[in-house]
Amino acid sequence: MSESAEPLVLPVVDSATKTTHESSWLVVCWDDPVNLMDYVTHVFQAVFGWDRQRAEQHMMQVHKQGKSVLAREGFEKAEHYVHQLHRYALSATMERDE
Amino acid sequence: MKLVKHGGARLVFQLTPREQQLFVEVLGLYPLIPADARKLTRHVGSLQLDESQQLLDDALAEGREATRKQLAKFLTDPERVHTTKSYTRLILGTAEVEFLLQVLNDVRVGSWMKLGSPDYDAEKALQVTEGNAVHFWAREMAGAFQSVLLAAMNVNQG
Repeated sequence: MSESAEPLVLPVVDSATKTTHESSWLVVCWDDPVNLMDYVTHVFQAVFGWDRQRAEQHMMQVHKQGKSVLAREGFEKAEHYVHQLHRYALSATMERDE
Repeated sequence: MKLVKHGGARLVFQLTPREQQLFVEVLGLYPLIPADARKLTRHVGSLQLDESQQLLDDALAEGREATRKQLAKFLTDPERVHTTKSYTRLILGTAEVEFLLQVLNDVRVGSWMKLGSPDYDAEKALQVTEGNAVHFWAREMAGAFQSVLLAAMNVNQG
């Protein structure tokens, strides 16, 4: 699914990824329809250390909704994750959690 | 290309001469994603983010150069690549599989970008021409090799 023009909805963030109350950046993965579903699942497991089930849930969210919020972190950790996702050639950004 | 042996952190793949030729050709296309394609954020107007974007661009440029060198070394490493008249064997650790997955996805996504980044509907209308055939080919070949590597990783992880 390509990037959606639909209204922005509030992100669903796994509670386990919400580490501190200082966290203020969302790590968002956007859908590039060319990516293999198994590949995206694999990358989420590799970068975040998630089990397959959790990685697949986020992969499906990217696939169906055009994006998934993968983590809520402080600036540097969020930046690190975005760098890692870019190394795997996934489309990812960090967005202020407002 | 098929997985012929695995155990621990070691995976052995066997390729026919034609597959080996295609594998090298696909990897040789790296890097295909334009240097300025990756943005740190869609948020506008922060000096901190501008500086971080520059750092990201620098890191990605350095990473691409290091990967290109590592790739050239890897493809001629006798510890990793054994070629006979009838087949080639690739002996990979899981770290090398991760490395190859990253390279192949750069080729896959980069080829797709060169085709105009079509979504599902636009894809149906795309015509193969003399000018874009190489991008179709690279996208599909990279995906095929990725699928073999991903399946092998799943088998290896049990």
